[in-house]
Amino acid sequence: MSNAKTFIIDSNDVCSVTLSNIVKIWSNASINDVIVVKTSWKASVKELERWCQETNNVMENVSTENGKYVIRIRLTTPFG
Amino acid sequence: MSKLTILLANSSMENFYHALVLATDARAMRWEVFVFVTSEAVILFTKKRNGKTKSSLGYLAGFFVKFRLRKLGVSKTEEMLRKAVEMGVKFFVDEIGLKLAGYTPDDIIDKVELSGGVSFLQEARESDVVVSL
Repeated sequence: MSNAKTFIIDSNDVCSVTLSNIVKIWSNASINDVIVVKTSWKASVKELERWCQETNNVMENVSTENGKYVIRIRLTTPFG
Repeated sequence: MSKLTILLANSSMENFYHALVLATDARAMRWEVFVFVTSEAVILFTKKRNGKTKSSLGYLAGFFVKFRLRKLGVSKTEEMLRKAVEMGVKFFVDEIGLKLAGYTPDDIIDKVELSGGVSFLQEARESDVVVSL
């Protein structure tokens, strides 16, 4: 897990666009890599939680930072 | 794998936006996604329009809605269409609607196929979710 990479998505775009960016990263990432999403959209927290359930990835943590939601997702399932 | 089929028959920004959101969200969950485009919506898939939309709310209200969307950082429909294609959403344009609108098959954008009612019915029958917009 020490070689795991962290990718950051800092976007104000709607969840669908954020999700498409997550999938793009996921398609080239390795197991245990982490994606940190910073978004101003509150609904993204629930949406990404459900996305993790659907794709068998793990939402590790949600916090707030400068008025944005910071969502930490660990990729535990290979893409494809 | 779950499967979503969307029937899009309206070219307004609102309907197209909803179709693109559902399509990209479903692809993000690795669902198969088919979007069948018919009636006036076919013009959105011509090289001339390339996903650009107009609001159904009229000029001033439409301008205001687009302004608000930009201010919120929401992508334009043409950008969302490009992303949806990249993500593997399969778009099918009704050939009759295309010809009724005065276009030919050569006028549709790349990676979009032609189809008819039979294709839609078959995909819809086998889908887990069907949405009509």
